[in-house]
Amino acid sequence: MRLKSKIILICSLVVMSVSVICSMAAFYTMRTGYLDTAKGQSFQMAVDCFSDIENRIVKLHLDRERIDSNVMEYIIKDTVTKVRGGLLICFYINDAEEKTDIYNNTTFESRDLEQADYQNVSDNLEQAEFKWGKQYFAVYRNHNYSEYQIYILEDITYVQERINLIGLGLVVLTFFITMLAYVVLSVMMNKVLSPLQELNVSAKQIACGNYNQRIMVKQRDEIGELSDNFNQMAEAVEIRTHSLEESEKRKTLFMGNLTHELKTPLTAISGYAKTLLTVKLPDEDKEEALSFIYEESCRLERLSKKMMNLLLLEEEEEIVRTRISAKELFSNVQAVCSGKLTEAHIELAYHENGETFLVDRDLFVEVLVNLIDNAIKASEPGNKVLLTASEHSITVQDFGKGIPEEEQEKILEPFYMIDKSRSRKSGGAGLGLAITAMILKKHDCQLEIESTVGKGTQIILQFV
Amino acid sequence: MQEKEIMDKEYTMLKNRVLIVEDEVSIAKMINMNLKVANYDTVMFHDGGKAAKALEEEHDYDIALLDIMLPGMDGFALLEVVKSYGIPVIFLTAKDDIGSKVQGLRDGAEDYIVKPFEMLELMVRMEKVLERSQKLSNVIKVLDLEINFSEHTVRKNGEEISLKPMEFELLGVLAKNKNIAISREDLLRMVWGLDYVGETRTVDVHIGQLRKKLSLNDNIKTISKMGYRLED
Repeated sequence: MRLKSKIILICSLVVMSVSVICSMAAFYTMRTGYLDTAKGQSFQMAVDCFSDIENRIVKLHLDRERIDSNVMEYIIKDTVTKVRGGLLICFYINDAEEKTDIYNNTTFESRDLEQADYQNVSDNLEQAEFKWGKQYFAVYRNHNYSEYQIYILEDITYVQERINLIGLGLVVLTFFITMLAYVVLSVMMNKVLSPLQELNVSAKQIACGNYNQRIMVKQRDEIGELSDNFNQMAEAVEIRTHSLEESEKRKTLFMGNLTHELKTPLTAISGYAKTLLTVKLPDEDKEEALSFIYEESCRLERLSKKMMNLLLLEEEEEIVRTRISAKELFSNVQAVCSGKLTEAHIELAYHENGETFLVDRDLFVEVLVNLIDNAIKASEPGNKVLLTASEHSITVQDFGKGIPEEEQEKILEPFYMIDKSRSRKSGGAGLGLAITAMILKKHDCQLEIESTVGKGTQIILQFV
Repeated sequence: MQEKEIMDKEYTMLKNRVLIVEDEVSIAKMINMNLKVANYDTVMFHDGGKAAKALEEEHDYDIALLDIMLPGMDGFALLEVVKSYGIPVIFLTAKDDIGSKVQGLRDGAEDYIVKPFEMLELMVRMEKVLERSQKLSNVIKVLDLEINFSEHTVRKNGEEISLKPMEFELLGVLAKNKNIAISREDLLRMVWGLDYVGETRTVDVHIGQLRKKLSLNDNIKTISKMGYRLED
């Protein structure tokens, strides 16, 4: 069952119960009121009537224990003319307790009237409600005269009818109130719950992978809050999914590149081995094949070392930072690079003014060595490479061939090489800058590239 | 002088010229090594652009083996250049995605081989391409033998020797891949076909027949673990 239907049903039931209770209360109050009024009126009439009879009896100086039935009939008849709308019955009771009509302007008999439940309302006066068919009567009787019993009736059917009408009216009213409540609730629920509906649709959409889904709800209530939270959740999911997709894409690319980098040396190694085994080769070819097998194995070894490096970096959570002076850092770097620098006939110069940096010493030396390696590869013999420290940055500058603009973004990707054949010859696997980028990320350090083709490249390591 | 020219002509007619464009020096040299032994003439380039330039001067090749990821000019662009000289192309590349394969073949390459590859496979595929473009010589001369594939005849010192069909096919495979050892399994597959249900003993029996009929005892060598090799 839908939430909407549940709420409407429950609320409608509540409204119905309340209105039923109210109606019933109103009904009984009004019924009692009407009946009391009617009874009061008839009581007054009965009292008047009986006092009238009493007066006549007193006036005629009659012995109330022994009144002649003719006299009694006369008195009653005289009284009846004065009682408007009243009905009067007078019975004579003989010694055998048998009742005979003295006067009766109704169709009732003595035993009919005696069935009613009489209650004393004053001395000598009893009252009862008497139902006959569809008619209602208020009945009064009196015991003043031992041989006679006098009943006074008033037809109060109209009161009962009015009460019935009111009851019917209240039933109809209750029904209408319930219906009205149902309609109003439906409209309100629709209005209140429509954002929920929207929420539902959006949630489904998100479940289907449509992560950019948002809800436009501007209510300032719980549903508005829920929608806001939902939007926040959707955004978080979107960002997370996006980053997962990105990293998945990067991984696929990385794996693709890695397989490619593995395939070439493996093809060469297995190919040369098979050639040596199956082909009748001249001796110099045999030697060449063997040397290629050796070289390609070395390349695989280098690749696996770099890969391990990259993997370890990725796994290591925290780096150990120590305060190190630029001078110490630079001289360290120069010591590591000196072999390559002299081999390539390139001079490394550095400028510093006593700056210090809070870095992981070994990792940062590796970063700078990697960058200087690249600078050497880009430079011609006789060129200079400059290493400059300033307050929040270190710059590596070369005057080599520069990096074309469209390549500048890609060079940080694993296995990317601008000049593949040349990098291979100098032993590169295309992982140096990827490792550098990873280390810099751990240091919260940004790498900026400023390069002009033909003039040289500046790599700026900006500490945040 | 004239005689030498005629000999040269005959020589070049028998040898197919192969253009190899591959930026990995080790792989290019490996292909080169194997093809030379199998009686091909080869020219190597390690740069697509340089290869295209050299083709302007000289383009007398029977077949070209191209890498796709090349410096200078990539394989797909180079394919257009090579095709314009009527040279059939086989791509030899590490790119094994279906997109590249479809593009390569649709652009007009005759075949597409993914690294790592087997030299024997490369050579068989090259042979098929050469056969299609009718650049394969019908006659192979090995030692004192002259094998004529159109006539299905073998002459030893000019004298025809009768061979059974399967013996002829086996000799053909060994001669085409001369100086290269081929395993019994590969021979079975190449000569008898993929669906032949037989044992490698069949190969041994036929090799025995060839050795006896053509007196090639010293030239058809058994290479341990590797199979048989016809040496000149």
